[in-house]
Amino acid sequence: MNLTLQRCLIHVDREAVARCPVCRNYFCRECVTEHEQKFLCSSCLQSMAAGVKPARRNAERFMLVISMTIGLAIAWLFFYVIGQLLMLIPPNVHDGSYLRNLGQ
Amino acid sequence: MRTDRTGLALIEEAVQLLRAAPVTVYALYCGGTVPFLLSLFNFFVKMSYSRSAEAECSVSAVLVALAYAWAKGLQVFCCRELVRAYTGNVERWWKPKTMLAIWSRQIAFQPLGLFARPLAWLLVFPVIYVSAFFQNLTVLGGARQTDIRKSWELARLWPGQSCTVYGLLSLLALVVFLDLCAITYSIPFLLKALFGVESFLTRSYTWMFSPVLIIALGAGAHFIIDLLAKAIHVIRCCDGESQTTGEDLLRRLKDFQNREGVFRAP
Repeated sequence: MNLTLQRCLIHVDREAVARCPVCRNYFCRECVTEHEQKFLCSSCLQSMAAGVKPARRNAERFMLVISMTIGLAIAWLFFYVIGQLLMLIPPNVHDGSYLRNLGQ
Repeated sequence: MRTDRTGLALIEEAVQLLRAAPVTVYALYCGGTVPFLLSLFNFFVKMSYSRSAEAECSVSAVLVALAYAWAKGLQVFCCRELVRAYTGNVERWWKPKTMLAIWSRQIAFQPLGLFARPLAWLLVFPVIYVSAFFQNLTVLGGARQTDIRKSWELARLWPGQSCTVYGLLSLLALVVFLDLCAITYSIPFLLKALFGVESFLTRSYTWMFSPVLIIALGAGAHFIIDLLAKAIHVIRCCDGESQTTGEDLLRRLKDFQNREGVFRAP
């Protein structure tokens, strides 16, 4: 159905500019809000906000802790590898004595 | 939003932004970067000269990784302040909940850049996208779920401008590195010439070629340039976001109203 022919569900005198992807009703600019790059009507947004269950929140937190641990482990691995590479450099390169030997 | 801006003009605007930025921007950047650099130098020295380097490597790497996480968090807050200086929009990042969300996302995602960036440098072409992605993630904070996707989308904007900027920044980083080398190498000899202070540094030139010193100077140069790179990405992100929000036009209109007063009723 053409959006330009539709009217807002709440303000019938206004043209519709968006269709809520959840309830599939048409709304004017004032009645929709952008949420995660989607235009939702206020009632759907409220029910979505209320619908986030504690179990899901806990799962998200758990995943975040896991990804933080993995992130820290990656950072540790990077610096550990650098440390190992520095240890591979011979001591005479670190103290510059190889330059004296080259000169002789 | 200006899409016709050249890379050089963008760098110039970023320098202006840094000049006009409040002290908190520099305080936050230094508060994160200086402890990280000190712990990194300490780590380099330990791994190069300590007899117990093998045994200390794991624990020292943990400390550097924690310092890195600390630095990344504070760099996000520094970028938030830069965004405020650029747009005038006040976002309350200092709430404990927001800070925690930003920090946790940064710890989760930024370490990937430690491996991804050198790999991208080796492959040459994707480096502008990979570097821009991690810089954008610092600018946006990562607290919202859409920030990662948005960082990638913003990294792909205006590739020509990105190439110019990265080319110029690489040259600038080389100049800063050479400057740091010149300063570091000349200080002991200046002390000897002006005040007669003799030290082991003036008796031999071999210390100048120490790998640890060269790596440390390189890291120092990188972090000096990094603040400019962050200012550049703040401007790019704000302009990129304005494509959908039109916020830049509203901002300019507000400036125009404040300056000229043309829309005021008589």
